[in-house]
Amino acid sequence: MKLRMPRLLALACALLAVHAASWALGLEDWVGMLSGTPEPGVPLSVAALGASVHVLSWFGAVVVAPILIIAAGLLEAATAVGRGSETKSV
Amino acid sequence: MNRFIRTSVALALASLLWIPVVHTLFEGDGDEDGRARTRDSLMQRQLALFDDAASREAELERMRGANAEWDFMGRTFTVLALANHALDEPADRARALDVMDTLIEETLRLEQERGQAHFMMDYVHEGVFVDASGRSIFVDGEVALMLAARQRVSVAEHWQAPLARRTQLIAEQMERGPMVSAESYPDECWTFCNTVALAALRVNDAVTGDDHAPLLRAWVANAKENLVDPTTGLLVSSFRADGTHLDGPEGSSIFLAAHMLELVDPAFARDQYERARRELGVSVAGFGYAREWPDSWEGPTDIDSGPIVPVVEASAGASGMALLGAAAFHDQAWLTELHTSLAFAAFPVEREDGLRFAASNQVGDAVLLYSLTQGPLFDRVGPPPYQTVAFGGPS
Repeated sequence: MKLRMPRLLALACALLAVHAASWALGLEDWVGMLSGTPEPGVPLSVAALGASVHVLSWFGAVVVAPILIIAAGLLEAATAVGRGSETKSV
Repeated sequence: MNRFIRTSVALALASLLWIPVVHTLFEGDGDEDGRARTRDSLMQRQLALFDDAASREAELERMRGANAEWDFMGRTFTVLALANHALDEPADRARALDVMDTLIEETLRLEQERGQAHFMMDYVHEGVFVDASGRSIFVDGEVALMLAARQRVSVAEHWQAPLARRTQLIAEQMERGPMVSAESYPDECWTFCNTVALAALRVNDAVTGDDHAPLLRAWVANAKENLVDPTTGLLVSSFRADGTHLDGPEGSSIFLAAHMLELVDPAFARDQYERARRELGVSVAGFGYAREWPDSWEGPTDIDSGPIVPVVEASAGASGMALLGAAAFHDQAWLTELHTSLAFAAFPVEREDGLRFAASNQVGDAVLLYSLTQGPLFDRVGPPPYQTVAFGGPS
């Protein structure tokens, strides 16, 4: 039997991985851009990009990824219920 | 049902399930115990920064690169937080006073060597002050408040003359102004700075027995008549020396102004806070934040507002000051929501030397720390009627 991760779950994992990578790269220190104090020695455009990546990846990991995981669970449950009713009708 | 519709329905249901409970992940930092932990850890970091000259210098330079005012305001809010801490924790009083003294001495030295403009934005050079003194109430008011707060904790003889001189300068300049207000920048009076100056006079009076009550009453009476936005009833943020309104009500200004006015006219202060909460405060799904402008007014995104999040209009500057307002006026429900937002979106970084918020900077952390230490200093000044409060205990 071939195990296949649902797409929504795979996307959630990707979002979590992006944020983990952002955190590991130290982009958290760059979000000072939000208060108008960019990281010293980093060109403004690069700092803004880094800050945006970290902020968006954080929201992706905390808000979007759990929604994807829950949705994947709901779809799996709906599929299982569908299969159950088909089996009964047969 | 085709796959697209099934997936869309599943995503919608999942959103309905998840979004209302996201705040629970961060709520632990928003309750009373969480706020106490944040306060202690922030205090540790601010003191550690003070001990580490290189880190402090780097942080100040980083802020000065964006706005020289923040260097100065970071000092003010740190001193105010330390005053509260010193009054609240007698065991730490000597250390707190030592740091307060060093910060004030350094600030006064820099002011003397480089002028008030050292702590101001460059446009101070682009005009001429209407008042002949050419002084900024932004600098004088906050210096006076630092000195008065320090003296309220424990009177030091060597600060008596500097405090007396500064309060005299403030009072004379405000009395000369047609709006009973002084300029922060050339022909630009800021409500933020003038209310800080009024609070400084009140703290000074509690320490020295001086009486600035007539000036304080005159300021409030004039403000109610000339400095209030007619649509919202909120104090405008800035105005010309002759009273012409410049910026309308702003979240980055009004919450602090309301807090300072607690020492001047508590009923007016509460009215301003409640209006600001209604016009600018937002509570959604367990999170809280503040907008920079009410619906009836829109100003430019600037150094005070900080970045504005599109659509929801959350302002970093306004939300930071809202923490102070909510703490000062004991708005516990919103305070919890604001702290929950802080834990969620300000990127707290806890290290060995304490807590900082990566999305913030030293002045932002100092404002937050001051909001978390709220109470002891203002309690020891007491509300009007204006009376000298005996040293050593609350009124």
